[in-house]
Amino acid sequence: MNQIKTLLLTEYQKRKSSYWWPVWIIAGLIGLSLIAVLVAVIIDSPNIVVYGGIDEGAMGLRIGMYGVMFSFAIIFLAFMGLGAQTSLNREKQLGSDLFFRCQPASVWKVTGVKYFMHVYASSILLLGVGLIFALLLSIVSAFYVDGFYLGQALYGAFLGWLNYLKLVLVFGSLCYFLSAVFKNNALLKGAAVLGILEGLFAIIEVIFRHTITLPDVFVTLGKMVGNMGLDDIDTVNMSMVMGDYRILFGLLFAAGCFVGGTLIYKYRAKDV
Amino acid sequence: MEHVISVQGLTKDYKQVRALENVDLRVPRGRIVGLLGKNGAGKSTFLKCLLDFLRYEGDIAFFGKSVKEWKYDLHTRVAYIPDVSGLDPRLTVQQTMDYAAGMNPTWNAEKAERLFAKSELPRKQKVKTLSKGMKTKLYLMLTLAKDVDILLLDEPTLGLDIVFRKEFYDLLLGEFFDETKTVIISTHQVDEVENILHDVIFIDHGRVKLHETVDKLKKDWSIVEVSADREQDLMAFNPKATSRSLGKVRGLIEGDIKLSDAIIAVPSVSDIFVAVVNQ
Repeated sequence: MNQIKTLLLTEYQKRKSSYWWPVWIIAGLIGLSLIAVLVAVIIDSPNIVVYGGIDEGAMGLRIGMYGVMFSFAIIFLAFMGLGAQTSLNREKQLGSDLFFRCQPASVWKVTGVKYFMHVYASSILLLGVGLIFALLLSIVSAFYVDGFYLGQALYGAFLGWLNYLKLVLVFGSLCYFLSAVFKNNALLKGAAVLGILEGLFAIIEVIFRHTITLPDVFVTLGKMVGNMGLDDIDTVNMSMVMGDYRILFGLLFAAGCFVGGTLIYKYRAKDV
Repeated sequence: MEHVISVQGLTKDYKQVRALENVDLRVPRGRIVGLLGKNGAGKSTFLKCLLDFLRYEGDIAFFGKSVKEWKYDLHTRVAYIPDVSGLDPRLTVQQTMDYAAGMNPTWNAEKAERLFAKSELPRKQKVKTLSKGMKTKLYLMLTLAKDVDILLLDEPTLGLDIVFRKEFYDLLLGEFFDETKTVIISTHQVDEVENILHDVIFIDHGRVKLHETVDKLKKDWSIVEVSADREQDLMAFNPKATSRSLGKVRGLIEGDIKLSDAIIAVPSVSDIFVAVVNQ
């Protein structure tokens, strides 16, 4: 247990700033928005529309928060991807891999912590940011709509957070896997390989005059995330976000990426 | 005599290049062993193979148990300092120390604190800002605080100035070595370590050319100096190396020698090393 605690803390310390960058960016964007509102108030009376959809009350706050979390998630996802693509190759790039390999800990324990810290740890910060924003949004909106709907705002934030988890489950796990395959620029090289694969499938389909159908690589990956609830955002709820069997494929894919990535890492570690 | 390291038939190929060829050796407990060889002789590869960091052919055992069976537990008994200062530049000195303490069940906190207090290493400073000497010192302290039985050092003082080099070996001898510990020091700077070594292994082109105790080496080898006009007498003993200066001829000779009016001296390990690897 002590080793896991140490590994978690050290992984955080190694890339502390990249965890916090999305938070600072979001804080900056919110700050700019507040300045804009302030300027609008000074110049003229602002015309603030909390939600212009079907319901300005409870449901409106849930949907609004869900949408806000989605935009936050994109920022977090970008930083998660950049970090996760170095999960298993950064130490080698820095020349410190032998120091870490000289510690009495199993490879699975070490890579398990790396996988968690690079893929999922940022979601904790996103949840924190989401909860704070939900509180602020429900307080502000209380002045414009009939009632204080903190519960609905939190629910919307939570649904948005679950969506982020589904995204990182597939996308983050893929980045982790790519970090074992490529020594540097894993994300770029991985995307190129997948793009080539996609093109190859398309060529094969043309050669066979479309008598066979091969999977669309990127669409297949996207499907494993399951329903994002964006088509029916007006009624977004838990069963819509989580009640999709395709998430099971996402879980299997993530497990495969972790096991496959770690096995490749173990094998390649001996190519010093 | 108990052997803490046993190596049999160790062979390592890097694609077309054979880095180690059929290395057999055994290292007893309580010795400081110099693994001496030129650049590219196979010293680093040998140490990495010992720790199972590379794929190889042959058998390697620590304390009578195969390195494959030890897996990661081996690192509670054996420590390694690589040839380049390989600490993580993103961590501070304190964070690196906390990491090593948390990962190693054999960590001696009291010893670590004592060593760090003496070292004057800036705890809050990131490793990337330290000089090479400071990084090496930090690495050594982290290793010493682990209380292992075997220490493998791969060119540990390469690129360090004389002050750091002296400090390094003083620390090694003062804080680590006793009759229960074993140290293997890989280096090509033979002069620097020869006074602290008990045994030497000369390695060249991936082969062990000589494995002997320093005492026996110095007993078996001699430097014989005669005047230039008696060079033929000296050559009769088939010296492994010769040099000429100021009307004198010097030869490095293995085995007993009786030559009248010759000055006989004990050679340094580096003299023997040069002669053996150049054979």
